[in-house]
Amino acid sequence: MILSESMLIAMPALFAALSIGLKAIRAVSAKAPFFDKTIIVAAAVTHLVMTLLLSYGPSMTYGQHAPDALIGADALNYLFLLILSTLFLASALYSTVFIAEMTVLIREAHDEKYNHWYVPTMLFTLSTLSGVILSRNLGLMWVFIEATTLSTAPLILHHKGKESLEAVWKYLFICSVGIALAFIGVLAMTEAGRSIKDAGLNVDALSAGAANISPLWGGIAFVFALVGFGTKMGLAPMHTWLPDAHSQAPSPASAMFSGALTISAFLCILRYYQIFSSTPMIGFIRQLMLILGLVSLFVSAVYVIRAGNFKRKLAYSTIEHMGILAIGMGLGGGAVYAVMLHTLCSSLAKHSLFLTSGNFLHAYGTVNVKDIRGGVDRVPQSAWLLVTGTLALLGFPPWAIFITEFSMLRQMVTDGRWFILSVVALFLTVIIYGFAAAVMRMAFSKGQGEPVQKHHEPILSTLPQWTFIAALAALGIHIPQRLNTLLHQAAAALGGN
Amino acid sequence: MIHNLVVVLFGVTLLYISTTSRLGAYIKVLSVQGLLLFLFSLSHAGNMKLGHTMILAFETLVVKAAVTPLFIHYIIEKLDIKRVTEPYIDNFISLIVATAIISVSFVLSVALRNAGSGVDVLTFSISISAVVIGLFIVITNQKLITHVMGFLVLENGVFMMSLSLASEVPVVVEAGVLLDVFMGVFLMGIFLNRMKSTFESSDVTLLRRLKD
Repeated sequence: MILSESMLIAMPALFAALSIGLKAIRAVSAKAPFFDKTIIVAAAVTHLVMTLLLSYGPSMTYGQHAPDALIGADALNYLFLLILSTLFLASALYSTVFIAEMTVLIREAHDEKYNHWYVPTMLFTLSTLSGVILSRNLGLMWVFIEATTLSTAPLILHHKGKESLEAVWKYLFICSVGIALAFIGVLAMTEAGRSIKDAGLNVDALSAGAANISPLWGGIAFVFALVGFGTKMGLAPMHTWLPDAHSQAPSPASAMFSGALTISAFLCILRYYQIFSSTPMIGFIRQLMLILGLVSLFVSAVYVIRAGNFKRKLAYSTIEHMGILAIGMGLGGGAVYAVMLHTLCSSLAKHSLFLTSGNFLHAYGTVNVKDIRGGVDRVPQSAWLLVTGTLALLGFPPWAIFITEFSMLRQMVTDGRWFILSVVALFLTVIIYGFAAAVMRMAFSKGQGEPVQKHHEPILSTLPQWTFIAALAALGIHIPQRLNTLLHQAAAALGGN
Repeated sequence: MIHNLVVVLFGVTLLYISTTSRLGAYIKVLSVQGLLLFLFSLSHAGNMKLGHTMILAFETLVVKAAVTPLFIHYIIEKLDIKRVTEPYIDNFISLIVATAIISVSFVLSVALRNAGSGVDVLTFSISISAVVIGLFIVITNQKLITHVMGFLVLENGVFMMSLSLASEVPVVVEAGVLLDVFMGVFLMGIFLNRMKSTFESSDVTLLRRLKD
């Protein structure tokens, strides 16, 4: 099965090469948008089909790998792969609308040029993210994380303004410092794994022999990995690049950033967590994650109210959800299952809101909250998407995020962590207020009396989001057996239940 | 003996870079650090196959000691960037801070060794100091080009640490060399976007359009 797993990494890159290669042909070059649309959707569908085949094939017993396997799926990373693949399909479908809008824009304003690099960079991003998720070797995982940083950078530069340049500079610089620190984590792990025979940097071998790892080097490795990959994940206080990058990238790309890029960095941290999950060191690791999680919630609560741009608000909400994930891992025990479910659900919710923000940008020419009024009259579908998506993201029942957040709060009660419970509840309340107030204003406030022009909403610009929100509601009521098993297996790998 | 001398000289370059505020001196320090890292990697070459040694020799001697400093020099000439670093704090204070960073690193490394980790105190503490001093240069300077040079100092520290901790798994050391790709992207970014002219000068104080 290792072949099909490496194909998941190679295939999107081949499609990207195809997209670049086709444009060299003059006859095709004139119809580049059409070919790009076909290629991105084809790649997304292929990726999802291959991902699903992985689970139905003989490798249903995940986790059976050669001791030195570089890549391979187990329950934990299969969950993340499934999220990545689903999100990318949604982004690809939405991209067809986005590319169509881009071509209309070019016809109207002649100084605009078609962005030939959009589809190839999206596909390279899919390829490198699959690589991060499927790696079973901490060194290889680090290399792929560096590759994701480089492959996503051109997407932030899409609008080519001063702001984009500033955002991409901050993104590359802050993340590269983070990645350099994460490399020290990898080095410390080589030193820590020295006592285990032939372990190298293989996750399975290291977790099997975790009892023999020197706690000193293990601790150093985890601290550097947490700070380094935490930068990429968007944990405060290393989050400063995130709102800029998310607000500058085109919506289908920023949706991928928020939904898939952040959680794949989270998976890197989880791999280190997994190694130490059965050692006494886990207490120290949980403390660290709790602290960073609480700081992230605090930063998010402060800025989600202050930010005037809706995409920046969404970016701070991303930081909030990353904080919740870190807090859940910090609690351990029953909360780990909730973290797994939360990873899935918050990714779907954030993704659909980022895509919807693209509809508002197209209809109003801005995503500044104070410039958007009367959404339900002008873009009814998108406005309702915005409202329901927000309710789903903020954790209202019946959507599944209610269950995940509730079970984390319940875990705090059973553990008697009243201080953390009250702080988290306070921050969440502030965030819910700050976010919901802006959304209600965008959707329901009345315009200044000018006649309302209904804006055309293509079906593919709303269908992915409706599907996700429906899926979240369904998950809130019933979790399918197969998915439930997967979530439990993933949680078990991390020492939860 | 040579090994320790190289590490000590590397430590001296860290102190020197903290006292100077001329971009030209920064470039020279980076070049010297590249040479020292070449000597350092030779002293670890005994553990490696010839191919790995050659990759590391190329990385240190060609990339770190020659091409990068020359390219930075070219960018500064071409974009006509002002030749001082314009730090936020006084040179004297940054020298004190650098000394403090090095002493704290030594204390930590000795503590690590006493805890039974078998670490080479001198190398470990100097490489950790290079990482922290690199970060310190990034934080205390305004210019984008100085940020890149601070990142290079950090990267040199990481490289030294990777050699001292993982020289028997050369693949890991070579993976660390990939960090140079970022350096290349930064320098090309500054050069191609003429970051000086875009932000009036290549000054981080003008990177202030995106904020809340």
